[in-house]
Amino acid sequence: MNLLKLSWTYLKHKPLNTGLNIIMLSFGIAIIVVLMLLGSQLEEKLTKNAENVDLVVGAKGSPVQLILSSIFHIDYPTGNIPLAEAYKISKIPFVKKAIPLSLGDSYATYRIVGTEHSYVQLYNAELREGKLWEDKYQVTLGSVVAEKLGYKTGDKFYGQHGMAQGGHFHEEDAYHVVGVLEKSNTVLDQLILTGLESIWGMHEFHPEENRNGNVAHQDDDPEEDHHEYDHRDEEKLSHITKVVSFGDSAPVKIPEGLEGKEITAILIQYASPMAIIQMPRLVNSKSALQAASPAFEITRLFSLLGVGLDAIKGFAWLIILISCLSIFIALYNSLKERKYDLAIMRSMGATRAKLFLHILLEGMILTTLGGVAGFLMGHGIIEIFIRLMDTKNESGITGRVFLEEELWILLLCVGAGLLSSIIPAIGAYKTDISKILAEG
Amino acid sequence: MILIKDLRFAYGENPVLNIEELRVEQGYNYLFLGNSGSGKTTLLHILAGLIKPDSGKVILAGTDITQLKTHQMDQFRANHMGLIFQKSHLISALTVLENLLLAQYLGGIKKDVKRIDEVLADLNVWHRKKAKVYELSQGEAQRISIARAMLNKPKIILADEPTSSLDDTNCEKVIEMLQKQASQYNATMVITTHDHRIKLRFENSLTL
Repeated sequence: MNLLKLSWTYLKHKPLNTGLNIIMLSFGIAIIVVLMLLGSQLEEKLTKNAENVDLVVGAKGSPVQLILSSIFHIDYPTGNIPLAEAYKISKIPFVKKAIPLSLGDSYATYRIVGTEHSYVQLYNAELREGKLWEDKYQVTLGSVVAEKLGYKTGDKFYGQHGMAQGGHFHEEDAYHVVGVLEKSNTVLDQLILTGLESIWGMHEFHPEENRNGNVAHQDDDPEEDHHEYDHRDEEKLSHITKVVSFGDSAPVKIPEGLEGKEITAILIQYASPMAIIQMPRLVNSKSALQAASPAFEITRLFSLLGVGLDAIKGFAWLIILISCLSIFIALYNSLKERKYDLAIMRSMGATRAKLFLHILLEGMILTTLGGVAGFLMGHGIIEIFIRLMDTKNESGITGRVFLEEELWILLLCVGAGLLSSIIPAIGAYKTDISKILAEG
Repeated sequence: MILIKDLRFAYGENPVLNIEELRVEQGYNYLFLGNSGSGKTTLLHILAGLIKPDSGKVILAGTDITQLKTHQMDQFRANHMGLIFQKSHLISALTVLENLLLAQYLGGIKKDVKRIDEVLADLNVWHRKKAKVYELSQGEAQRISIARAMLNKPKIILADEPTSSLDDTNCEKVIEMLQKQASQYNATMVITTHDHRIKLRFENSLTL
């Protein structure tokens, strides 16, 4: 027998009370833990994906949408911009690096992105097998895409129009997998990468195509057209890609045959801090374009979400507060029932300090158990939720990471136990044994 | 063993106790008699160090307990005294065994289940060792509370109306056991009572 065991026995003696208090506290803690885990992992993901991009230039529309679609690949693009315009922007001296992106197609919900090799370098991604795309219709897969689809170098597939499942398949030309990227824990893992000319090629000679790429494609394109196109453009395109490469410093001159071409967005790295002020103004002054800063838009997005998160957080703290109050009331009431017990313990030689500690321990055991239960529940909720809702684990969120802040939460629980039991413990300390024993 | 000198105690304006001298030798039994309100329980509580007298000396085993600080008194009680009350006041969250283990823990004595078995057997309640407190009869409960008081072999046994809520048979048994236990450890025993059934069994008494 010791004080810890004694306190625990008293708690066991009232299983319903004890259970209720632990459950209530653990709910509050679980909510806080879930918010903390989600918040930190989302923030890490967001900043990792956006850290090397200073500005995104795309079609006019919602800046948040532009950032979401061209950096995180989650929302739909705002529209397309003329390649010539984009190319001019890339030659502005403030620009250190410009990466073109052409979106609009997907395969099994994974987005096909037409871009240049500099996009892979942006995230310092490495190849697991094969090579990066070089020729038209060659693709390099992100690690998650390859893993989930079971594709490897040498496989072929048809791209699908649009970004949701159920779109029309571009059955005229198949993509060839020429390589797979190593997992980089960035958005690249979820993408199918190819050259700009592949995207253009796929959408070439489809008369009804519009700027947004929302097209009803004709399934029965005449065979001859295709051949004609292939022969006519093949040579030109390979020549053009070299000239138009956003990476080199050739003068602004869009070669013949590309005037009508469009891309979706360009990711820009600044050459000097001056650009922070100048570039957005410069871009936004062009009527067809808009510039959005990832850092700014992410902050804005978080502050919008933040109101809701704060409300949930506030609610969780309220639950924790109420459960502390409930523990306080339970202990305080139990003092009345236990006054003989306390008096008899004193008569057996227990010091007042021991009784004080005995009651304090009871509160602390309760809140520590509640804290541990909430901690496990929080991690469990995320893990189960992710497994049920996000089967492809696109978000990369997991319940199996532990944050330093969580230790603080456990410490806070012990503190809460101390706080809610201190008044009852003082009551126990002050027990007038002579009076109580004389009564009974 | 017990020496009381010039003891005065009052509740506010009402003087309750006024004892010039009272001496109880080691190993003797002593009764405090009197009706309720006569101050016999107060006197017992003073002996137990649960309350302090207004003036006077209470010397137990050579120590004037009126001079002890609260935590010293707790320690003294743990080392020298066994207390028994009218009701058994066993801790109902614990089993019989756990109640006795708690007494060893609070008395600062090493866990000794053999000793517990011995005392329970002495008082004929060994078979109730694993029982919950609410399963006990009143007589059993009182015997276990005696076992608890005797567990740490106290030199002073203080019992406050130990028989008043018991029937004749149990009363007889409890008194017999108290006397037997006290003589076994050569303890000084003081009992307060207004119970006529036990007056005749003790030689020394003080009527308050």
